[in-house]
Amino acid sequence: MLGRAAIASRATLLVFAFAAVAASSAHAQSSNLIGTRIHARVFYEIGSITPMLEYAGSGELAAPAYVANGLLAGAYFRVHPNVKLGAFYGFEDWGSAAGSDTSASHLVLDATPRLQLHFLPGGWVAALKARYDYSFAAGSHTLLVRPGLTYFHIADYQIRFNVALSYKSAFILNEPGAPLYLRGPEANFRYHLTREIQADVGIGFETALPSTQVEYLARRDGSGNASLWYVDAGFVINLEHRLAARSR
Amino acid sequence: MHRTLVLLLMMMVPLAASAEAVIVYVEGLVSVIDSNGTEFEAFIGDTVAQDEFVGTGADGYAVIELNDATTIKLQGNTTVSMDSLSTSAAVTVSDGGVLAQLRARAGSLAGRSMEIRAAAVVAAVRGTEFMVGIAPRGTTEGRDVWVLVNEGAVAVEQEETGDSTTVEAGLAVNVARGSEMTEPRYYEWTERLNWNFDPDAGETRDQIEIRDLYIDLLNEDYD
Repeated sequence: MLGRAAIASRATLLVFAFAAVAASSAHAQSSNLIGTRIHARVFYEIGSITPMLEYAGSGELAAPAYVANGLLAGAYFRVHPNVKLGAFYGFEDWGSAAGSDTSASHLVLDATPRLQLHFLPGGWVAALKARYDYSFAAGSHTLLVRPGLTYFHIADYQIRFNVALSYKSAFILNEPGAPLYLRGPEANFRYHLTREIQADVGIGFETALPSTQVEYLARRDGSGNASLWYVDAGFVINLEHRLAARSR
Repeated sequence: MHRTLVLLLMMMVPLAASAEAVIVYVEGLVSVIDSNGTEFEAFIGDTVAQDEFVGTGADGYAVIELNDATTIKLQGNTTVSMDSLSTSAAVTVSDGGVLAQLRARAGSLAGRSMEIRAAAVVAAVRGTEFMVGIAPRGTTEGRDVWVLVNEGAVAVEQEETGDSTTVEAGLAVNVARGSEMTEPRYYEWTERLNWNFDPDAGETRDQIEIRDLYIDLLNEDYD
């Protein structure tokens, strides 16, 4: 049985790793903002297909401050035990305190290969999320790449909590050289209230690099160069429906 | 490599054959697929004919009397086919877990046999209460098969390697990846099985299912 000290050491290892990466990123930028994000997601697994509905909201304590709200709906398809593909349609609305609302719809395609690291004690999974986003309003094509490592603490045949560390990098595909426009680490703690319901809180640090084509940057101070600490909290509901005797 | 586990459960019982199995208890989604491939939701009192399938959903659970001496319980996400409902009852477990009880309600058990098939091993069972379970698809390369005994003893043999062992009451054997026979031993989780097969006598549902032993971490989605 895994001792509490061992569990704590693994969680601490991830936190330290996150802090080191975040600190190095913070040095690179001088104008730090503070953001808050919330999310709620519902998954409904039907065999190898898992529809998902997401609400995500965010706000930044910038001048001028802005808030954003988005919905994302679609499904993941488990095409291989180690690979899921996703297709989603999203709608997002954002605006500053001055009331200049803007909205955009998105097509999102997602590919996430995962690998369980059996050579490590406990439950460790490495994943590489690649998410393509097309904005119908801006005509922008972006690609988010996010490698991550997650530790699952399992007790009494259930996941009790998991700790994840990841680093995201986003690229603009329709600019020459597909330049990087956003990057930064994220750390997340997720507590499994039940098999179906999880609550999570995370912290991240992201740096936006100069660009003229991505909506994300237009929401900020317009300089196109800003860094941001943010806290992200929310919950996830994972439901399951399996047809009985689906096949012979 | 796909292998087929065959569990041959031989019991001698002196009772007449029953042409159809009877579903005596259901919870959640339980369905029957008939010989035409048509799926029906199952309810208490429904009958199941030979060659038909019974399946339970994630929240499903069922107790089925195969004949007047043999009762099985289907855990969640379980699929079984009714291969034979004669004096020699036979079922095949393709998913999930099944607890079985051979107990004479009148007379003795002499003259009867039962066969349970799962994947890759042959087990000749001499016991009256036992369980056969198979790991969920995709959780291991090759699917673990579990055989555990509450009463009596079970002789388990892997068909292709010839490995065999005897599982005594209170112990379980895990045929890892369907091919690697392990030593029978006590597993704490088996304490959470409920060996009551009679809904009228109280709770019959198990507190743990085979799928609970396997958490598919690669299926954990959060965003």
